[in-house]
Amino acid sequence: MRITIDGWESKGLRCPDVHVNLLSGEHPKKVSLIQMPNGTGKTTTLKLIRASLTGAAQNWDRDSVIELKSLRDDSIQHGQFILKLSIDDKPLAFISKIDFIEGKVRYETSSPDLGGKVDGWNPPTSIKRFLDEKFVSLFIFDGEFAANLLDSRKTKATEAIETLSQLDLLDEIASESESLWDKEKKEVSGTSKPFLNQLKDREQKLIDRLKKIESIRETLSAKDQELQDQINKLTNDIEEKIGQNREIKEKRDRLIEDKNHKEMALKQNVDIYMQEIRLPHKLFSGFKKHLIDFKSSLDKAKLPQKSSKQFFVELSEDASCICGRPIGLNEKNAILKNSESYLSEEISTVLNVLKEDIKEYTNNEESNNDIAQSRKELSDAYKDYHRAVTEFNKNELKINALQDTAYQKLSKENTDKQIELKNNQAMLSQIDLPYKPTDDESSNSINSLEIQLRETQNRIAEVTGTVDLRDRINILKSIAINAKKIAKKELHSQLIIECNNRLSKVLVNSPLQIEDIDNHIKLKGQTAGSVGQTLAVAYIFLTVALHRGSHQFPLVVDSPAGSLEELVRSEIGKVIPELCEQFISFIIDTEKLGFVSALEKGSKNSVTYNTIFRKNSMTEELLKTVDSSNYEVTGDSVLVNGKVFFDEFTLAKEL
Amino acid sequence: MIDQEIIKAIKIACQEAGQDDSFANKLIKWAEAVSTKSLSPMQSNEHLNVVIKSIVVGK
Amino acid sequence: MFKVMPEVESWFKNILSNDALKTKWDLYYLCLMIGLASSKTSPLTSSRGDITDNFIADYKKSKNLIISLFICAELKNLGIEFSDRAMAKEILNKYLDPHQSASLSNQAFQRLNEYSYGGFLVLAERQSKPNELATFLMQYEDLFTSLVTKNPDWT
Repeated sequence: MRITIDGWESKGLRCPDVHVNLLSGEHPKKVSLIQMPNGTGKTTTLKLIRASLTGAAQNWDRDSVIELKSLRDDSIQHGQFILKLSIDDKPLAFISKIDFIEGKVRYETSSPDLGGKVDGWNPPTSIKRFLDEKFVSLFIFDGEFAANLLDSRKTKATEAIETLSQLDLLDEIASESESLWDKEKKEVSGTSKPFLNQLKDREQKLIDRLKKIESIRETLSAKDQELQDQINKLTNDIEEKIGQNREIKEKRDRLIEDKNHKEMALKQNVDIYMQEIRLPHKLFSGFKKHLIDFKSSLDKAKLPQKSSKQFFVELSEDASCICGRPIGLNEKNAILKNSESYLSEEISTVLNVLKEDIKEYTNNEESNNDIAQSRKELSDAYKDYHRAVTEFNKNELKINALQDTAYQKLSKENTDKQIELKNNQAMLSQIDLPYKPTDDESSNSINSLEIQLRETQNRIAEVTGTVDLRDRINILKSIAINAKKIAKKELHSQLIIECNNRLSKVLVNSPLQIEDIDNHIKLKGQTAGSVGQTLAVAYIFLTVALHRGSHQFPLVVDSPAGSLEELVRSEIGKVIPELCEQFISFIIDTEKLGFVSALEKGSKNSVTYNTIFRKNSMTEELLKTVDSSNYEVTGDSVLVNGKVFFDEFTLAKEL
Repeated sequence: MIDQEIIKAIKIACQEAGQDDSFANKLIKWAEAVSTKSLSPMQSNEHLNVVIKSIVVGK
Repeated sequence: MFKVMPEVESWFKNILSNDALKTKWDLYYLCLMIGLASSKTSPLTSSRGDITDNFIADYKKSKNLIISLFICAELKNLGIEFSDRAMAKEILNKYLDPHQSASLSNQAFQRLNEYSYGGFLVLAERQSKPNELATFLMQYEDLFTSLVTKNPDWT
């Protein structure tokens, strides 16, 4: 499905009274540039475009509606904003009728599928799912949103992916199945009723508590990540400071090398020790005796027997026994009955293998002392490593004492952050504690609360006779949760690869790569980029994410290039037309340099140029050289079409 | 249509939960219907009941 | 299927993914040995947590020793001597299944899982949540030795 914005009209509002037409023939061009100086009503225009796409304005309060009123004429009582779209080349328009007296907005929708114009906000079913505020804010945005994608305190990146790929579908499935459970929990009469109510109360308490603790865990996890990032940055800054003094740096490097070397040795010893532990007879030499006893008990009990159950089953089918006596019906039944007390041939095989292995491992004399030796070597390696760590830390303190206040400040901040991180992790580990039978609804452990909740729900199911339903719902929920986890991981991975490919082409001079998308976009090797880099990453991320699937959306951006340096503007400008079907940009004159020419190149000159500015004493002068068919003057504004005027227009000129 | 990765993930998750392909397909159909955001409560209920009834318990 | 409960993974979280302790099977085994050493079992808290239906490569060598010790433990638990051939064979028939790749029946899986989870509860009670693998393993060996040498079934 393809959605394009064909234009809009506004009247009586804070934004200019204009009729903006983005069509060139039947379709809009690839790029539409709307040059509007600050204060012309860009923000209002964007707000109304967004509101038209989501129907949000019908829920606005009075103050929000009054805010839209034109400033030039106090007597205006009504305003109107019409947003014109095409959905797979079929026209659709949302008409916002704004009543400043009542302080309300009413919608009309016009489309051939509706048979013309109808009251209300009524988009076609095929696009309805894309027209909610979360989704729309991903293709109509400004620089602040872009920055939030990389802000570790926010979860905008993950939310964006979840919205665009509809991962929240799986949450909805889990929640629907739980609603079924709520409906089916039947009332029971008589003495069981108070008990059932008690169970239901407990269930609700556990649900509420679980939600609260999960929210706390999310906050703590985000804090954990934020602190780790801050510590990494501080560590880098400290390293840089130390690097300035050669002697100190060399000694420190030696100690680091020693520490790493001892750490490696420790790891190797741990590995060897763990390999010993994996063999039970080495973990406890006393097992050897029990294994030998087990084997000899099997031997003494003649297990497995030389004859197996199969032998007797086959014998029972013969006409005569091996001793020659005839086998009649009674004999046959007796043989079959007694054959049950023999092991089957296959189990006999298993037993023989067990016995062989026991014989092999218990005969191997040299194996028994290995674990004691490994333990000693591990213990020594452990002490060596910790000695190396202590030496390193002592040296760090010495360095700290020698260094200037800036270094000491960094060092203190690093220590403080480490302590904060440790405390944070201690709280997180409380939340991760295992279940204990003495736990109750006030537990801080998510494991415990989940187990208690499951038990309570199972109990409710027993009391209300809905055990089977509860089991099914549990299975369905766990599938939904697992599917979301799997899809999220794969989507993140694909997005990162695609984004990094694009980024390496766009940010040639200031290379940047995405390391991970976990709530926010995490950059490789740095906690944050410059404003320009942030915007570049955000564009790439959003357009790559929007580009997934077979739907095409317009990308509408306010001030797309303001803080980008010329080279980056140029690279971004080249790439944007490739990433979306339609790019609409609200731009001021200072952003044009480098950006517009790149957009022209990237879109193969499929560009519409519009300049909108407030009418003033200079207007007539400005329009002198413009063909009258290319401009429209309304009560308060001027709209000029065309590249020449667009290129030459500057704020200084306007003033 | 929902994202291909969601479809794949549903199939994997169903397999891991011991449910067969026909169950996975029913779940995918429901997910697709939910994705249109125009499912009536009755229609949603119908999907839910079909899916719940198809679950094999005890695998 | 061998199973590891979510809270077990959670408890070991800070030392898992280390080169030496990398699989859920390692967690399963460590807990199982404590369970066998202390003769402690506990019913599972969830139907989730499946890991594999066979011993993984790291445990192929000790597979038959583990199975043998498990059967020993069960015989001791029920007070069955091998001289009571009929009862001993019943146990062998109950727990061995040559048609499964692990040579274990479903009842054996269930029982082993109960030993493993029981062992985890003992471990979590007696040791704090581990943050460093080396110290954990040394403390683990000490705990294991202490449990097994105090258990009359194994001494």
